[in-house]
Amino acid sequence: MEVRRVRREPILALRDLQGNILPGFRKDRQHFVFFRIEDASAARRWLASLADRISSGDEVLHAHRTWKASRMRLGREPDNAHFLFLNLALSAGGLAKLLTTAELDEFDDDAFKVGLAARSVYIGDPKTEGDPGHAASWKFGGPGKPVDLLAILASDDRPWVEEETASLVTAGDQHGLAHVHTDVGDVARSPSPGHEQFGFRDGISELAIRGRHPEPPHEFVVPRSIPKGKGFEEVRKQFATPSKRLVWPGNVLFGYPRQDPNDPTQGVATDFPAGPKWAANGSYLVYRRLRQDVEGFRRFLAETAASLQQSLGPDAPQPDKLAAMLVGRWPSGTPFIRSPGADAKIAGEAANYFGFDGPLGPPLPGDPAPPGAPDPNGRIVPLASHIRKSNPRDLGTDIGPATRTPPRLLVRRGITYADGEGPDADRGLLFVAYQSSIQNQFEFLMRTWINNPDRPEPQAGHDPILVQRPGGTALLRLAGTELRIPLPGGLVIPTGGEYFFAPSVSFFERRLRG
Amino acid sequence: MPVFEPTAGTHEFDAVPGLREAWSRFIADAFESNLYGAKDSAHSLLLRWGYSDVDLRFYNPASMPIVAGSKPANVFWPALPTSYDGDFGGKKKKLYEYLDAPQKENGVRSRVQDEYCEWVVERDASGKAVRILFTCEPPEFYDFLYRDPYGVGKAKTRALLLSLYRDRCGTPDVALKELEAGKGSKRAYDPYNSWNAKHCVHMQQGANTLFAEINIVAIAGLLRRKGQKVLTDAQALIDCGRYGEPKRQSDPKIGATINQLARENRFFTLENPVGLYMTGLNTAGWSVAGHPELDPQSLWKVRKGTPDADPARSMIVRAELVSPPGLTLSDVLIGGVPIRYGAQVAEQIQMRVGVLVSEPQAQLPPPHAIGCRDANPPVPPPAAPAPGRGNR
Ligand code: HEM
Repeated sequence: MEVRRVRREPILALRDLQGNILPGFRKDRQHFVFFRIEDASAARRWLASLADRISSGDEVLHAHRTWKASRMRLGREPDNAHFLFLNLALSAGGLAKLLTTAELDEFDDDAFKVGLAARSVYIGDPKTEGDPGHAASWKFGGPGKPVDLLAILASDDRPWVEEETASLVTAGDQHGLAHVHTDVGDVARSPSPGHEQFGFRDGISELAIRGRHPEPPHEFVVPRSIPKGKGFEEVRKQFATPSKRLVWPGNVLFGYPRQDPNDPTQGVATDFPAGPKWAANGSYLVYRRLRQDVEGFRRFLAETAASLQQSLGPDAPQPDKLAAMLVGRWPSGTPFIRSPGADAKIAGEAANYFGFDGPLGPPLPGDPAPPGAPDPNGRIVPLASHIRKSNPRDLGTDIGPATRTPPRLLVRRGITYADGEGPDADRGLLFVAYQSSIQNQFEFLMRTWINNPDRPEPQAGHDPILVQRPGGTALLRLAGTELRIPLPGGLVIPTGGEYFFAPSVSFFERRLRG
Repeated sequence: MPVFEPTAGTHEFDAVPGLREAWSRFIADAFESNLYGAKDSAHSLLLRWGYSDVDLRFYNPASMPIVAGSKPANVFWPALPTSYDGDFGGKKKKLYEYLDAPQKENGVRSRVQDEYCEWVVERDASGKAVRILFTCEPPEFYDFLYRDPYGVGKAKTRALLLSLYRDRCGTPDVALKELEAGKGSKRAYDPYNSWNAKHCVHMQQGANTLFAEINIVAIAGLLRRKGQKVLTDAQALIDCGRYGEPKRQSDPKIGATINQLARENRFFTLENPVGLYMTGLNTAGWSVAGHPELDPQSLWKVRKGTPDADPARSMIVRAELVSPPGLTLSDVLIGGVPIRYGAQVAEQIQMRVGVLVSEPQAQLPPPHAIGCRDANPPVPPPAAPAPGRGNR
């Protein structure tokens, strides 16, 4: 087959793709409502009738613009410029009920077709039934608890999203669906808004989908703001803003070219995510309900810091610094590599302006903090730290040069949750990620990097945040020595989840109606 | 005393007196030609840029003792190639069919699996996979026995060649002439012979060779610059140094790792026995349909080399995945997905190459960096030595 490449970024069908993929809901309150389809033809009719209510990328972009304009005008967050967004996604089991299996088979991704529970051990979850995190104990999505449909309702207006959830559940009930579970994501149910339960700012490093608006003058959907000056040429080619690395739409959306793994500035016009015709403008959605053991995390840090103290004396990091090393960022989001002594509070776009092989380019205007030294051996930021394991950035990896990494990354849309109060509350992260290949993206990161002690970097050890199996270790290169710290495993465990496909709006309008 | 052990440290060569020594010389010569050969060696490149062998950090342990305090280090990569990922319209099934089958390239039919690991799938009458053979043995090992370049005695080395083939192919029927190609004085060992094609005796993809491995390490061990900027990026380095295959996963990563060692002013050499090794098969999340009691790892049979729980020490060069008793490999599930292609299994195999690395040599100035395009006539070296990068 002849391989063709393109450089001009394609027009994105913003009215057709769901808005949580692009630009993302970014709402404080998000309900994830899971259903099982009991009566396929009733469900099909009902879902088709919901087409008009699905919030497209275009609508969400407009809403964000309106909200921002209000904030500008008021000088504070508006309290009446609220929106309520709705998105829908179907699991393979759900699609099989609504369509033919032949159509489902056209999807290339085997992981999607067999579903998350069948892949659970493969991506690092416990294999023994009874162990915390095993699929048999999940609230939904595990054996005997299949889910077919996920509805995401999002708003900053809490009562509104609650009302809408209740009426959606009732309507589902009347149209052949059974409500299985609802997860309530709430940025307020966390140590502080925008921070996950261990206390670290999240949602800093993002993927920006390349592409243009459907209307003239066909501006870039994700605006570009890398300085024009000298020295920024390479950064400008690969980033929309310092926090947003550009990726060709085919690595997230069906129907578009994928990124050339050897040249991030081009797409491969002959390499598309494979699926049925109607899959265009859709995206796989990985959903994991991840419970975090906040107490356990603190204990692990205190114990490890104490034992490091014994071996290193005054060179040993205190628990808060150790935590920052293991995440790769300070709680504020400040990248550890740029601020290894203490948190220099690097905020905004600058918080993502760094590489592990040295600075990405000249300093950003208004970013006086030191750029960070090259750290290929992990003497500053441990090779096992969460952000190095999940994105080694400018360093080559076991799969080749650094250009191979962005096509493996995810559009992350997670939000914190907490059920109950106090130390025993069930709290964690509702992990939501979009991509066009679950096997090459989410699962690759989980199995090949996060849970493999020798990849992407030999000897690194396991991701201290995400490793579940006991017996893991992480390598620290500190004060001229090498140490391996034992990891408890299971600080983050899955308690539910499934692989979904978030189809286009027209799938509901036409394919389901058809 | 031979310096270099046979690949994977096996004892097959013991059958012929003098063969171990000959192999050691063979490897030592490969080091020498890549380091000091007249053309395109590391040294010849340095000369062309006006430098000398003082700037070499890769060395031949047959001509220089192992630097004191050296420690082993490894580069790992997956056995499943990604070079062809973009060629099949995103259809994995087509990609895997392509990778599993030999393809005609440059007039010969050969396996195209290009990550220093090759495989052959055996299927039953209904087309189900029943056994998958994997090899990362270099062709040089077999060609060496055929050619007997150091005069140990062709009759004996070829007899050994035949007996190894018969063992790998499980039949006494292999004849020497079936392993040869060409006529008259051109008659030579044929890595594409039908027995190798069918039984995956050793690697045959054009660049899956020991020589390539040594060459990459030799050439990638030279610092490179563009203008005065010393290169560190894997892609920039392989584009500049033109070693190996840039589209692979292994070569750019091996090159970048080696180059970093040189930038850190360390001496390094290849692990002995020199080889490219499978470290093992990751069967976490595998199962056998209907047989929860079966451990899928038990289906992985190492046929040559030594597995080790520590991937950094594992030296597997030949292995196979066999069917569970009374079943086929389509009953073996990887994360719930039945095995249909060898490529699915290759994805779960990890490869490695080992090096021995010294501490940074504080007493020596850092090596000079050379440019990318050959200087001819030689350009004078830049005034100041290029600074090394990397924090220590
Ligand atoms: C409860 C579980 C998790 C916690 C507490 C957590 C925490 C964090 C934090 C604090 C960051 C840094 C903020 C940022 O750069 O945006 C981050 C980044 C990231 N996480 Fe997680 N995470 C979790 C689960 C996961 C999972 C399951 C994955 C799946 C592969 C993942 C992949 C990533 C990626 C790709 C990044 C961005 C890295 C970068 O581009 O620098 N995380 N995570």
